[in-house]
Amino acid sequence: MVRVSDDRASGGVTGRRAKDKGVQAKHPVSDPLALSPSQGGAAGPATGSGRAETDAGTFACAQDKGRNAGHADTGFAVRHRSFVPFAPASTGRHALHLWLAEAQVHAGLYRRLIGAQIRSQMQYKVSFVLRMLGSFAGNLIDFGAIAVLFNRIPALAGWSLPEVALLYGLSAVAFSIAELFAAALDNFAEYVESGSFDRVLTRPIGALFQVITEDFALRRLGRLSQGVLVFVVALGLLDVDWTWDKGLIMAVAIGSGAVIFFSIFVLGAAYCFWTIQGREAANIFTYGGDFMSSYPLDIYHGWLRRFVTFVLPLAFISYYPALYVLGRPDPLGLPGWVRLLSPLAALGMALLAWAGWTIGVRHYQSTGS
Amino acid sequence: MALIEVENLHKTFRVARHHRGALGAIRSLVDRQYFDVHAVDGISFSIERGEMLGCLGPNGAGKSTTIKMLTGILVPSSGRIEVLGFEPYRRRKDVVRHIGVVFGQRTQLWWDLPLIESLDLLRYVYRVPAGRYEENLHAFRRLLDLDPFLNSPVRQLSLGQRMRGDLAAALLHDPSVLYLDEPTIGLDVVAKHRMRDFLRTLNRERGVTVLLTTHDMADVEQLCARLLIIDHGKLIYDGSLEAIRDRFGTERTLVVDLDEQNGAVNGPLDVPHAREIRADGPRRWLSFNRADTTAAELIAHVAARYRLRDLTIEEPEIEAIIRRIYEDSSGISSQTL
Repeated sequence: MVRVSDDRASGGVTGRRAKDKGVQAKHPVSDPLALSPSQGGAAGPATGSGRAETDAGTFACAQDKGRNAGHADTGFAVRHRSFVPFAPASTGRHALHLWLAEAQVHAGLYRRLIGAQIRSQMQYKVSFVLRMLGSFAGNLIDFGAIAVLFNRIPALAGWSLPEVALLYGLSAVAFSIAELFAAALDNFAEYVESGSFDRVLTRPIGALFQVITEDFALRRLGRLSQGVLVFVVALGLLDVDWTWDKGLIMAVAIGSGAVIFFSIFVLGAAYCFWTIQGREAANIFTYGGDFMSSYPLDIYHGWLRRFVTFVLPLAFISYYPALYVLGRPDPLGLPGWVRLLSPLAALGMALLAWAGWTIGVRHYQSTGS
Repeated sequence: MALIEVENLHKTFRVARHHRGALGAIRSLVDRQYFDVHAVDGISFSIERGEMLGCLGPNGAGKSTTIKMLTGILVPSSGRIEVLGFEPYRRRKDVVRHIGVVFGQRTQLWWDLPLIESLDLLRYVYRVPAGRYEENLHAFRRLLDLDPFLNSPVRQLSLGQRMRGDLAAALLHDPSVLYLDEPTIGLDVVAKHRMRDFLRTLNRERGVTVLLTTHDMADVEQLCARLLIIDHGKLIYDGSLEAIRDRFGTERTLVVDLDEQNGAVNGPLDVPHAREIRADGPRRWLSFNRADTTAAELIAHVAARYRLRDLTIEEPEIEAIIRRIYEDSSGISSQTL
């Protein structure tokens, strides 16, 4: 009986016997080892279900045993860490508590892992500053090219410079926010090829979560600030009667856009489970997507417009929110409420990305490459 | 029930067959043909808590694939695995909480961070209680002598130091099982010795079950009471090191130094049940089989016919035995193919 915990004897929560397969042993998400960001990870989180307290008792008990048993002189005590039993969530409310506790744990862990990454990036301060300035300047020139174009033409498919700048700004801000978080997915093919993904699978947290915490592209802040600059300038130049709904639409558009771009990064990474050329394919949709959504869809061919509206919802990043704010007609002739669908498009993309990632990981687990 | 149970485990990879030549690359795109590689082909064994096992086998024998299935990285094609009562690939997160993994050639640590930060992050990844973390860190700092490089970035560590750091990282959460894939590869003699000492202590004092794969016979001889030999995806030996010597190490060698003061002996020595396998001046190597004759009998025969100055008996080296087993097994499988 290898997995019988000592807790039974010591009056703790009942140990789980090896044959009790019916009872799924779950690890308490709210056990005392949980990270509680507010408490420096020292004590149990404050999601105080009775369950968590019981588990804390078990753990304390197991720990005391560890300290007292056997080789106390070496400080290298014999201790079989037993499975901490955990009853299946019985109520929806309980499940919600668990979910919230787990989300809290992950948020804390994310901060720690990213904090460590940023500290290590800061070891090369000069390089960091130069890269940031480089990306800021490079992107500014990128927009400069568009501005120069408007010296020659009064409007692009009926869109003025400030209007195009709005599209460009929205897309750039959304894209660079996504890029901050998804930087590690950019060279995911090498990550898989070098076998680093094996390590991810030997740790008790989600695979995607671990991968995206491998890098936080603070250097891309240069691009973000350029995007913000263009966006703010566009807002200043536009002759728009700002109402609360238009402001909300802009904010929602940026959030949704970031989710859509992030999802595309994830899908591109998932594709790397099948082929190491995945990166090139992904770039078409990420960087290409950013490019496309920086211009009014009116300049594209009809089928392409339909593609980015109905298939890959790039149009919901900047185009439809901009149509709403500017009060322009939709060349596809879709009803007005379509312009409000950015969050729905983001949700759809997120689900698709999650499915693609899950299938990719499963594929990796069956082929090992 | 055992800690780890593996029953009739199979893992088959489908590999695309590539056509040759420049046109072949294009042909491979349209006309894909596959063939199956049976990386693991019907392996069964069970491991009790507290055991320390060595897993041997030539490159590509299926050792790593087996370990990857035990950790939940790979899903078996068929067969049953239970680790601590769970199927690793179904309950990956639950299982990995209780195992530690060290791949000799890859690190688990964050490359650019100081070692102590990696350890600290892993404490949160595995949710180790603060008190237990302090205890473990204290113990490992002493046992693995981590202090001199605790604050150095991992990329600056020597291989030996990095392995020590990796071991600490794999053990902070008190795993019940520790998998080591070639833990001593590339280490110098001192570092190997230290590593083995540590593993012995770990196994004895904490009761951690250790499964290690290696190409270094000394690892197995010094650490493992039990040995698994895998070749061509099959388990061809499961037992103790002594038993393998008894079973396969039947050929021994008698080395004699002839006294040639009264003239050299020409040609190989002629002794019943033995044959000369090597000669170097007056020194001769006679190979004999334990089944045919005893060492005492053979010495008596040689001494009766030749004048001797000195003699020694060489036991077969375990490495030679293993080599013979590999050769035998490839003979078997090439026959069955």
